[in-house]
Amino acid sequence: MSSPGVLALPEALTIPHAAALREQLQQALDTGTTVLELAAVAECDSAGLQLLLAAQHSARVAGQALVLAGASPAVAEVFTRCGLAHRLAGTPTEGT
Amino acid sequence: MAGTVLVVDDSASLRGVVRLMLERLGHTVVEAADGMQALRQVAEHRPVLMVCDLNMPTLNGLGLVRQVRANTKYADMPIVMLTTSVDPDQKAQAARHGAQAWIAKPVQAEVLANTVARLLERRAAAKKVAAP
Repeated sequence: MSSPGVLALPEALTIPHAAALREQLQQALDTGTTVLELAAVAECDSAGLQLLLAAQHSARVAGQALVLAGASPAVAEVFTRCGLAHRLAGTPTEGT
Repeated sequence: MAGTVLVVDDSASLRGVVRLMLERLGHTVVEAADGMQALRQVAEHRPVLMVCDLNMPTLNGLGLVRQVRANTKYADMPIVMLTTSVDPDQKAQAARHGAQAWIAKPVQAEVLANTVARLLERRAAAKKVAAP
C-alpha cells in the first residue's frame, strides 16, 4: 500500500497502457502526489518514459516537485538509453 | 532524405527523447523551448521540417505555426504537431494554419519516422514539380 503522497506504479509502463497511465498520473498530480514509486515496474518503453517525464514537467510548471523514486532495472535501462538517468530519484525539477 | 529538423517543446527531457528518435533516422536536430525561440531557430537554421508541441508558454504551437506560415520563405516546410489533445477543433485550426500532420503523445518512434519520411518525400516531390 502506498504512503500519502506516494503513488506506486504498476508493472507495465508501455504503449498499450498509455491512456490509463496518463489518467493515473494526471490524478496523482491533481491530488498532490510528490513521489512516483517505480520499483514494481517490469516493463517500460519510450511511451512510459515520456509519460513519466511529462508528469514531472507538469508538476514543475505547477510549482510542485515530483520525484521518480526506486527505479526498477527496466525503468533505469530506458532512462539510461535516452541519456536521462539523471531524471531518476532526487531530481524533481528540470530546466529547459 | 535527412536534414535539419527543429523540435519545439517546453520540456527539455521530452525534446531529448524526440531528438534521439530523429537522430537515429539520420537527421540533425536543433531545439527550441517555446514558440519565440523556435522562430529564431527557423530563421537561423532553415530546418527541412519542424516538430512542434501544441501547449507551450510565450507563443503556443498554433501561434507558432501561424507565424511561420506568414513568412513565404518557410511556406514549404512541413510541420508536425505533437499533442495529448484529441480535440478535433484544435486539429482543424492547426491544419488551417498550415500544420500537415498530428502525432499523439507519447510519441512512438515508428509513427514519427513514417510521418517525417512521408512529409519530406511529399516536399521533395513538390519541389521537383515546381522546378523548371
